[in-house]
Amino acid sequence: MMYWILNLILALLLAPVLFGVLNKVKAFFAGRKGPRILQTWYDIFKLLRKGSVYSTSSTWIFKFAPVGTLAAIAIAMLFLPLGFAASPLKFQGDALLFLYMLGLGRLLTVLGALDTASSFEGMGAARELEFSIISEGTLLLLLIFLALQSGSCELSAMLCGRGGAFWMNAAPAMVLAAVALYIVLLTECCRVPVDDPETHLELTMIHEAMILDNSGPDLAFIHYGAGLKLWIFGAVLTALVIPAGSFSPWIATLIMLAGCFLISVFVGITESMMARYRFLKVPQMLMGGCCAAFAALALLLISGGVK
Amino acid sequence: MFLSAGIAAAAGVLSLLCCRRGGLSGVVGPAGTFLSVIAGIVGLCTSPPPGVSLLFMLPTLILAPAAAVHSVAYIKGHGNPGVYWGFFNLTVATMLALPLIKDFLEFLIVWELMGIFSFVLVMFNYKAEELKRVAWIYLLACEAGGLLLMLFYALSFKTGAPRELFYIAGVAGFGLKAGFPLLHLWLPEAHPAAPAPVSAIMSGAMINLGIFGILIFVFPGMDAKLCGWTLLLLGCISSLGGIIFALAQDNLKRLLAYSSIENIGIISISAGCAFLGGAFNNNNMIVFGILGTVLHILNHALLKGTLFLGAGQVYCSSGTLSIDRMGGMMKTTPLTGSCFTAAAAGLSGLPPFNGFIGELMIYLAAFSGICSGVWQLRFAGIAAALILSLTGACAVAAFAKAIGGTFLGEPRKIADCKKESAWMYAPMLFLLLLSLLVVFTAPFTVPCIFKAINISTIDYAGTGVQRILFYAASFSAIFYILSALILLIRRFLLVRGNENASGPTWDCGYAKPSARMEYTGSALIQCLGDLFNSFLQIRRKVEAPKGLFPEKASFEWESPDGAERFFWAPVFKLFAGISDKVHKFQSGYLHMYVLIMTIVIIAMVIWAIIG
Repeated sequence: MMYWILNLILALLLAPVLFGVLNKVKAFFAGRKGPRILQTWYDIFKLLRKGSVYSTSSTWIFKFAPVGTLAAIAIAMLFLPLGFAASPLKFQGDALLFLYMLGLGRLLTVLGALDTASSFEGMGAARELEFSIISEGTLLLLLIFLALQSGSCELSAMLCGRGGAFWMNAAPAMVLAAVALYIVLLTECCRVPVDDPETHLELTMIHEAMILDNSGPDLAFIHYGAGLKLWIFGAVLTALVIPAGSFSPWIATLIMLAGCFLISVFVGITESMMARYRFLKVPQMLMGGCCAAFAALALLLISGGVK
Repeated sequence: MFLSAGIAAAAGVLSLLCCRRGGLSGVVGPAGTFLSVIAGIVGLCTSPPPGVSLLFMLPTLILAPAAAVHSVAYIKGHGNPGVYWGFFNLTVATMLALPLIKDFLEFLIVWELMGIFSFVLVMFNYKAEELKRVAWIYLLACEAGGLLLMLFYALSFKTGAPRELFYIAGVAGFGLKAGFPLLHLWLPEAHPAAPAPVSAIMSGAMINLGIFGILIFVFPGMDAKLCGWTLLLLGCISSLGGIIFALAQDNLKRLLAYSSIENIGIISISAGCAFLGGAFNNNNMIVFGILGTVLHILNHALLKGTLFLGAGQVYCSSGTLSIDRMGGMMKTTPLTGSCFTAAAAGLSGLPPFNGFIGELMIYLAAFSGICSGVWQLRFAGIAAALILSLTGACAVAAFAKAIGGTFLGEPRKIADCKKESAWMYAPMLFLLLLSLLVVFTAPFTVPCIFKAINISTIDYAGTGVQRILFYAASFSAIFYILSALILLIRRFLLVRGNENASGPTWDCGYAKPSARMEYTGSALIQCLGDLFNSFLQIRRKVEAPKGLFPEKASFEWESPDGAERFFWAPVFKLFAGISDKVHKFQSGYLHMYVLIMTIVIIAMVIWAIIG
């Protein structure tokens, strides 16, 4: 439990740093120097010291949305086996609470966007709603996949209680599942090729378009929540791929950290290698992810890597 | 228990009697509803009916007083209050009595009465032109259901009658009330037309009675596997189909009606999981399935009641139900908007509200099936979980549209929006309070639920369900606490001397963003509409701008019911064609009729001789 708490603190501290690593990788590919690794933390502190501007069109929903979103994402984090140690807050069915907390965060962000009466934010919300349906379905398929491998409905047990032999039993299924989860990660964390957080054109954004009107501490909460979300999906992907249990806790902690940072490096490489898809093409890619998850499930059931 | 139904009936008759004097019946009516509900609650405490009856009475007992209070403000200037209160109380009386009746014939009579009483309520606003069609559809659906149930009753006596026919007649007869796929036709028509409090009762409590009928009268004696698969299949189709059609609706109450179809689907999925668990001896699946059914019936009643009452307030304030015309109503009707938002988030199954714990139970039932070694259960579990998650995600989108289009942003095409009335938001607050209560009391009521259901083979303690519910409730509480904490932090940061300005929305440099530029509800789900278009078959009417100086352009889209367009309309057309052909015999010439009769008599004589 101590290790888990230590890992939680590490995650809370290092989550925004993931963006720093990611941007460094992108800068490297572009031949630039890039912002500092801790830039997101600097941004957050700067924003926390500023005031907020609230639109006259908006109501309490707009003011509550960033707060509620951050709370929902933070709670979702509590169920993860951070550092491969089972979460002390685990219970049967926490995997669903995890999924639905992320959903709650999404609804609040969408409502906050609609509350400003801005057409760009409405556009972002519409796209977010469309993509989220497919990515949520994919995520649920992956949960079923993990439940079949582990025979449990606790997120900790699903990710860390599968024994060590799952790569031997169902390697193709594992590869497909990892691919599907990576696509979900790109969608949920709003990265290229689904969304481009750094474009200068509001028309082409999703998540950044939804938060155009947020400022000050609210924007800081949103940035921090985005960092946590990237950490969450990085940790889930790491735990999905790497069999736990065979390491001592300190090494497990290191592996988890390395996994999260490696994934952000990987996201950075993906972003440098390809352009954002057209919005009509994104659902096709997401459907591809969904099909990969389906295929993983079918392969697992056929090959018999089921507990 | 019957006393409460009796009081409601008496109050109904009394209000009908004094329908000439509106003021008097306006007092007698709600007072009668309250008296009967109090009698009902006292009856529940003194001599509790069996578990299933209790479960199906609770929504009525909760929704009736809430709807009654709401009605007081709603029906002002909407027609004769005597007639309204009379039939309102009579409907409530039949709904209270139905779960208690053991004999099927008596049940059928009261069932028919319920259909007719509620028919009057649906067409209460009878002067509206479009109501004629709606009233017809509702009456037809009620009577068709009644006919099927009579067939069901007749078949139950005939030994050697095919069991399949018996089963289908029963499921279809009750399914017409519950809004099962293809039979749901009346729901999206009747709800938008009926007064909001009536919709609240019908959607929250009455359609559940269809499920009750199936569970009590059709399923006993049937194979549990057959029952389970039927419910699961029907549930999957209704829930996903219902919510996809809900997405595409512009009329707020029509959207809610489709969402009711979805929720009945979720309830059936849950009950189906319980039956399949029973068929394959999977204790976890039975326990979670039963709890999911119970909780979701209650949650749906509370939340959908709130939503329909909210829609009633919206209609009274703005005079329209079209989501695309509204907008910005959170500023004129803040309490209604807030209640609606909370209830909608809850009904999408999101965590800090009670909708989540019901769905959590259903997911756990599905995952118990997935983790069991039986392939049938595994298949059922995967299907149920996948459909539930897709439904949940679509529900989030549909309600984001409903909330965003109605309450958020700037008003679009409503000129003078009236303030909300306490008569209308008080019952919504009451229902929401009860929903919160459900979240936090659920862990403690589990033993009571299983005691009421009274099946000795079920071991609920071994599944650890109380611990799960306790955790779910705690995390709801943690969400509230954490949000409050972050709010406090922000408050502290903002107070600390930073300017906290307000201004117009920063619309990317546009100087004068107007409400016309805002995203409407339809625009919000246009991408999703395209994604599901092969299923929805949306009708588009485009008038593109022409020439160098276009004068006008317009775009309309609507999504009429799929079952009506592609199934019932062709079927009815076929029958209309046949009757047209038969109609030729009715020529109007006396000698023609004599000829036909002679031919028939000769044919009968020949048949008698040969036979």
